[in-house]
Amino acid sequence: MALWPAFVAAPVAIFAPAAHAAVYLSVEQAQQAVFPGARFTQEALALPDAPDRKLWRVSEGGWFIVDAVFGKHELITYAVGLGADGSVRGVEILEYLESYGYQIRDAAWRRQFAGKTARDPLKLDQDIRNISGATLSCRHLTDGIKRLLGFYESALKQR
Amino acid sequence: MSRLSSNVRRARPLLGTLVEIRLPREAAGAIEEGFEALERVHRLMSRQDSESDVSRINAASAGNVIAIDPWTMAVLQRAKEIHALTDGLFHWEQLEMLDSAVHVKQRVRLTLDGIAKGYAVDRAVDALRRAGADCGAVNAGGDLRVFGKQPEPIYVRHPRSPGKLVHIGQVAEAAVASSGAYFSAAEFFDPRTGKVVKPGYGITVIALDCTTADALTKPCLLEPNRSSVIAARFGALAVVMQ
Repeated sequence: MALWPAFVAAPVAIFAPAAHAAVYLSVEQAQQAVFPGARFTQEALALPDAPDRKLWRVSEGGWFIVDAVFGKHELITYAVGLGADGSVRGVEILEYLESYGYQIRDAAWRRQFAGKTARDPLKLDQDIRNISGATLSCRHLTDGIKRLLGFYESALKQR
Repeated sequence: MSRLSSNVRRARPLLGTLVEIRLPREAAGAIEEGFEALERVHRLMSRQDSESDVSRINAASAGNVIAIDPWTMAVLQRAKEIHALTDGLFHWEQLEMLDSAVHVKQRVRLTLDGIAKGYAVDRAVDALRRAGADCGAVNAGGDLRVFGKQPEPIYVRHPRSPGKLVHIGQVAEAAVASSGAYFSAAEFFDPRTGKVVKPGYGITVIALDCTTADALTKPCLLEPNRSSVIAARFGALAVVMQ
């Protein structure tokens, strides 16, 4: 261990958190991160296939969309900002929620996270920092972003 | 937890995974600089993007000389060194390195997937520091680096039960990367034999920089009994988790 004065080995402790969650940005914070200074007007959506999707028109032109994707064990809520020409202005993760139970698709279980913000930490084990060995693919997320670009082409471009 | 509320965390999908940057709230303005460095590595080294340096090298016919970015050159040079110092356990394509270009002597199928994420983390940490952050962390899908004086706890996913987290200790100014059959029966290619290996264990490497930590996970995974010796050549530590 002489090489590594900075590494302090712990007695190995293994635990299984009920859920590991991170809240990164609120919708409002993400809006200002992608379109600083702009104003946002929410527009109604009734999409049975995408119940989590929300849409805002941006004052300077363009759109701000929030949606969620499910993996086998994770739920990621994310935002995509589209410029007036439909190009991607920015992608931000709002929330990441991971669980190895089957609860993640259970709306009632997920409601405990609703309305939480980065300044209002969850009472779960969400402050578990520095996790090595995840290698969760973000394929669901990139597929989700592609779906939103398709949604823009088919539904938003002409609005 | 005052420590939590004094931090800012942001995450974006990059390098095929979720990348998180965490900084003290007073240094939050530096975050964008960190993501710019990560995005630059993503653009240069992605195999999906046909304009990337890696794709242009792979598209080149034998005999072509391809100009590349200094960052791509740095990764190629480090990959070649690690190949030499791990007795070929780290994969390397036969490319001749010129000043700011590579000579493709024969067609190659280059991938920097085993090292580029770690390199991106290192460049992001440099950028964050230059932008005024004196401590923080960058985590690219499990390849992470913490910087600053404050020791940070490190958790590793249990290789056969990824919902369980193993607290392995604390580090300051160090990088940690892990590899193993986490979420599926992952398969690893042994560049010496051409055979496919399915490990039932996980490897965690702790090094001074994330490029080294990331790149060493695979050689150590292929030779778990020699992993401490291999890691020691780089001043790193290797932990095998059964």
